Amino acid sequence: MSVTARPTVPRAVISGLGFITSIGNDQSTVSQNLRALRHGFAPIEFIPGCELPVKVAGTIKDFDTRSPHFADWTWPSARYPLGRDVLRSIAPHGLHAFCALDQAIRDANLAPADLKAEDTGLFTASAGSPFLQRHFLNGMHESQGSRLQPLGIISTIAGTLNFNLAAHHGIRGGVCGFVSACASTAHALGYAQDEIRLGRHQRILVVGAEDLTAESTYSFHGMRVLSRNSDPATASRPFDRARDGFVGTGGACALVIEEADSAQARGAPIYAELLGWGQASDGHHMAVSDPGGQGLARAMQRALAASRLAPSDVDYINAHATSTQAGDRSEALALHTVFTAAGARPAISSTKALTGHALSMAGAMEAGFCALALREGFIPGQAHLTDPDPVCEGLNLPRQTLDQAPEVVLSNSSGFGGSNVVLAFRRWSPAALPALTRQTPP
Amino acid sequence: MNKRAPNPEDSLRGFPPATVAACLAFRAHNDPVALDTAIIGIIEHLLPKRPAQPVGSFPGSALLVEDLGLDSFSMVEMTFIFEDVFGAPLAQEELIKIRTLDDLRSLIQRSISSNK
Repeated sequence: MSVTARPTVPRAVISGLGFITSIGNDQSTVSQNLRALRHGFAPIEFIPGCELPVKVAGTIKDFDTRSPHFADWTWPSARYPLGRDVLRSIAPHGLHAFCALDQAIRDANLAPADLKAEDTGLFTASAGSPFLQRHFLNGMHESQGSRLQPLGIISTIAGTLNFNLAAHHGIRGGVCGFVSACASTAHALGYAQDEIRLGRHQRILVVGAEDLTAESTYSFHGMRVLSRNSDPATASRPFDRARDGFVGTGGACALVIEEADSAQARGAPIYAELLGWGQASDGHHMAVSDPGGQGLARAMQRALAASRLAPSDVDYINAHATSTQAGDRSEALALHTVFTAAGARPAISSTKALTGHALSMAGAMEAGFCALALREGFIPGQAHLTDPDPVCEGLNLPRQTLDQAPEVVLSNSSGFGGSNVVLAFRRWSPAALPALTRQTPP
Repeated sequence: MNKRAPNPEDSLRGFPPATVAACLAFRAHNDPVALDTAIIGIIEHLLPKRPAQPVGSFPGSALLVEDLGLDSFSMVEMTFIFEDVFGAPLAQEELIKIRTLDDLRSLIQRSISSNK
């Protein structure tokens, strides 16, 4: 019997990034603001005269999509020339997504033929557009059914990013949307890595985007999870004893997840390797995190095991912490379970202190931040932390950005229903992985 | 709930000023030249892709889908606008027979006449 060599498992890397976020609409601005811990918040009133005690949001600069009529929208149209053929079937977050993906495609040096290749896929997530849907459905009721917007469904339902981006770029590989609330794009990235490692795809474009509207933001006040703090400088303060809820944001983030040899052959920038990922559910409540953080702890352990890492190998964790009392406490306990108990003290920060909570796009945005930190060699500090919650005692929450190049980074995401996803990244090295403190996978 | 009367200004949001002016001129004076300018302007604006040459330079025999590039979604949007602006309902059974620019012109003219 002949013995054949086991084929090498393809390595998945991040080879392109695009940002339309509250802290910048390009990679350089985002990186500068992350390092300087400059937030992207501003006072906002989605409904004039609104009596809700929610006054701050992570606004998207240089874009005005407040109108449901795309003819009224303004954006950097010289940089992103989009015609009626695109605009007629997208919502505000679709515009953000087109712009972010355009950046990522250019960054990765992908040609139109690469996008149309049969092994290029597209994974996306968004909550759809309740804002635009409300407008169209009101029109339906007011006209007694005689005015049904022909592309109303395409532009508003969850999946709108798939429909529009896949058609525009001629994507012929797998196209799929993810719906696990605030863990959605982390799931998309995890499954994108699987697709690369299984050899099914050469690359997957991963895009997350959200509207920033009354419908997408104020609705969370019904659960009393939004900050009532009207000061943009302190409204979002994850892990602080005085935190009182999250600050909403929107925008878009796009990442190209690609097989390493393919990215290298094209001369694309390689930001980081997506080493592995883990997921686990709380099995606890439809909207509230497990108070002990057991699901998130299990997801971190699985990400470490899948990546053959020990807790002591991790240099930085981009926490999910949204600045709610219950969620941040749960995550702190999960971090203790995995890291403090193992004697490890990685630096931890939640960049939502700067951006706000981008809901389903948060996982992609924060993975993008981790990619910048790994490539440029810094660790974002924990902004707006003045009085740490006692539950954080023993966790390493640097108040300032560290001028220190991390080797291994985790990014945590948690969504409604107790869905937890953890992504593990490593600084790119074309050579075979040097040995870290490997643990045996279960 | 009372049915909301369509507002032509809303329907023409984002259209080129010359097209809006032609629509308003027709509504005010029943000017047939303005009507044709309005029809051509509305079609041109609703085309998903900008045509290589102005729609007004196409012959009346030009095919709406094959030559001009209208798709089924723009056709639906177009009928809403024609109805809102000219007050002329376009019956679905008539619309599906339309192939050319001249077919559309005649349908709109017939509809406007029968609604006077």
